[in-house]
Amino acid sequence: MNNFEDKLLNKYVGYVGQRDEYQKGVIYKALANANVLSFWLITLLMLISLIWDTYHHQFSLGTLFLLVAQQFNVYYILLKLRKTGVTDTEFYDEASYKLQTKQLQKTACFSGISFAFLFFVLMNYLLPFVEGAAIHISWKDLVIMVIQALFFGYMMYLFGKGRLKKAME
Amino acid sequence: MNKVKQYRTEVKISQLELAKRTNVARQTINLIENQKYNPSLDLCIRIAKALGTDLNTLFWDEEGVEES
Repeated sequence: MNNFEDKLLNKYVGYVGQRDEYQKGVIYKALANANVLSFWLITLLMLISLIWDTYHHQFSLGTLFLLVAQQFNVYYILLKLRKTGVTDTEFYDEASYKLQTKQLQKTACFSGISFAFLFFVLMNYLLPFVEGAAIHISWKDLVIMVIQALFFGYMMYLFGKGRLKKAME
Repeated sequence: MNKVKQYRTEVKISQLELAKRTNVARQTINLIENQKYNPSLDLCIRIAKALGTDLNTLFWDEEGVEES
């Protein structure tokens, strides 16, 4: 952590003087837990805000700001962790690498289907219902859902595979 | 199971004094003595030096070592 972030952390948590390794560990764990909870809270609030906006036939800045905050959180963590490689997993034999890749394929497939289905329900049922519009499902919507599932699932797979490293001699 | 408490008592220094010598909080020393926190190697070395002993004496668990 650089000096600026150290100072920011010091002021944010509000301690005087230096902390030892145990105390730092406890502080970091509390901050990490708070971050995870905040992420889900922001996501939930964003969804509520979106439903509220739909009901009032508008798109408010609040919803946009919540989206920006959520995305900042995600990309900050992704970029910081990618630099250090702490989320990478090394494999020392081909068999375990292939096994993990297969598991990843299943997980990515499930993620793609769940994401596309939830998005489909949100866009085609929930939001039109809140808006008071007629619920109408066309073949185009279903095709879009399948493309979303394939795209999101494939992206999840690529992202996950990027973290699996072969370390064979 | 470490022997920090046993050796600290032998050299007759308080938890606070050991904490000052190793540059950590007294609570941290208390947690280490009560086996509730595993210190880093760096801190283990500082504690061993502060108590005038070595890592093996303080942290090596004879019972956990298999006979070869």
